[in-house]
Parts: sequence; C-alpha cells; structure tokens
Amino acid sequence: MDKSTDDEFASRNYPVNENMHAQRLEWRMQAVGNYLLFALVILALLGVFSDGVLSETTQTSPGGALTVEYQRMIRAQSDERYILRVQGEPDRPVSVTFSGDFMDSVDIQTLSPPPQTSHTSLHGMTLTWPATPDGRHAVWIMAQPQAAGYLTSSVTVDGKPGVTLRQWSWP
Amino acid sequence: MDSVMRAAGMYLLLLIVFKIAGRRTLLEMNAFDFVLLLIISEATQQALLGNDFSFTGAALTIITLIVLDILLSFLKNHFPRLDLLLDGSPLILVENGQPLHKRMRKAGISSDDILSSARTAQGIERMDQIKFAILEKNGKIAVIPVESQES
Repeated sequence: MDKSTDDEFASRNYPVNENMHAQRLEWRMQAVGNYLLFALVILALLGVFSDGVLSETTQTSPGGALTVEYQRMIRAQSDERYILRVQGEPDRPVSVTFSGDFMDSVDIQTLSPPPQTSHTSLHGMTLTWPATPDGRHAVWIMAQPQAAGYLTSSVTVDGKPGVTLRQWSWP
Repeated sequence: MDSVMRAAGMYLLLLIVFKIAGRRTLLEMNAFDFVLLLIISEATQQALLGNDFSFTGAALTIITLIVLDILLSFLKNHFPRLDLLLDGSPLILVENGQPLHKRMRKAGISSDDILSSARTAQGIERMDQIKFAILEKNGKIAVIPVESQES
C-alpha cells in the first residue's frame, strides 16, 4: 500500500468525510475523562461523598460533656447517622439543645431513646432525658438533610458551651 | 422546579459519562452490558423521582427529558461543531484491506471486532476482502466489501 502508517491520523474524504482533528480531540478528552471517573471512584471510597475516612468525624465540646459522632459530608435526602454521647451529672436529667440548620434543614427520622420532654424555641429544640446513675447518656439520631449546601448546626448540653457541626450536603 | 432540575442534571451527567465511555459501549451488547444497563437505569430512576410518586412528578420528568432531547437535536442541527463534539465523525478503520492499527487501538476496536461485523453483515472471511470498514457515529461498524470478490 502506498499509504504509510504515519498518515493514519490524516482525514480521509472517501468514502466518508472524516474529521481527524475532532476525533483526536475526542480521544484526548476520553483519556482525561477516564482518569476523572477513576479519581471520582477513589474519592468516593475515601468518603468525599459521605461514608468514609475523610467524612467520619468526632467532636467533643470544650468541657468534655458532649461528644458528637457525625459525617462531615452528607447527602441531601439520604439518611445520616448522628451519635451523641453525653457525660452529665449523676442522677440528674440532661437537656440537649439543637439549633441552626439541624432544625431548619434536616428532618429527624428516628431518635432513640425517646426523650422525656421536649420543647422548642424559634429555631431550636431542647430535649430532656431522664437521669442515669452515672450521668452517662447516649442518643442515636437518624436524620435526613432536606437541602444541599453548607449546613451549620450547634448542639449544647445543659446550656454549657457545646459543639458546632459544620457539614457539606451534596445534592 | 426540583423534578426539572433533577431530570436536567441526570441527562447532562449521563451524556458526559457515556461520552467518556466512548462508542465502544454501544458497539455490541453482551449479557454483561445488558445487566449493566439495567442497573444504571435502576440507579437513575431513584435519583430522578426520589420519593415523588405523583403523576405530575413523573410527567414533568418525562417532559423535561424529551424537551432536552428536542433542544439538543435542534442545537446540533444549527451548530455543526456541537454535532461534531457530541456525535463525533465516522472513522475509517480498514482501508483497501489494510487495517489502520493506530486508529483501531485508539478507538478500542480489535481486528476480531471488525471481522465479526464483516462476517455478520457481508459474509466476509478475510481482512483483504474488506475495502472499507467504517466505525459509524452510532457505534456500528459498516463494512464495504471489495467489488470483485467472487472469482
């Protein structure tokens, strides 16, 4: 054949009109895209899109009375878990106050154990659990963010300085 | 608003992902590709409709998808460059019996794929009986046999 292989990337006009420039651009974009998709899978495994080492975190309030286990990255309209561990005073009921986006943009699906009493303020809610002999409590919450974006919420125990949860919610 | 945004987002995402995956995916469906397609549609369904079981929600999603499709084909007709970007151009893989190996490797198509298409469509047995093999825009391989094949 008279055509050398170097000319493989030149456009032919018969029997069809080729556009090798566009074709090679497409191949290059596909190569980049493959890496991009691969990277996305790795990031997802690491937890950039919730549920992974980069996402799971624990925060303790200044006095050590409250520890919250939660996810930094959450996804809108999917169930997310929060675990509250409270060190209160022995034989005294404990009150936990939630405020900020946790009340405004997140729907609580389940909350256990059920609180003894609850009352609300304009953008917050205070729940009270009965006393335990050693003052230790744990609360498990399953909640569903309703909006995408940056969510800031705060949780306090008995009015003492608490923790501020900063979360990114993916759409 | 939510259904329209969801449908548009999913349409765009699938467009980009399938564009990256290339035409090879559409070339031939084996059992695994079929299963993959089923799973993808199942995963898409959840994000498209979410918890919305209403007639209006489904109608809005369907109409949005169709409108996007109409819009895209309209844009493609008016801007040939967009058409080129989205659909690509046909690619000649075999020229006068000579396989163009570099192109085939880049396009992810082997000689076997071409011969398989040639056998199915034209009853061709060997590479040198192929005058042209062209990877079409829709991912199919068109085979044009050498004219004086029978002797």
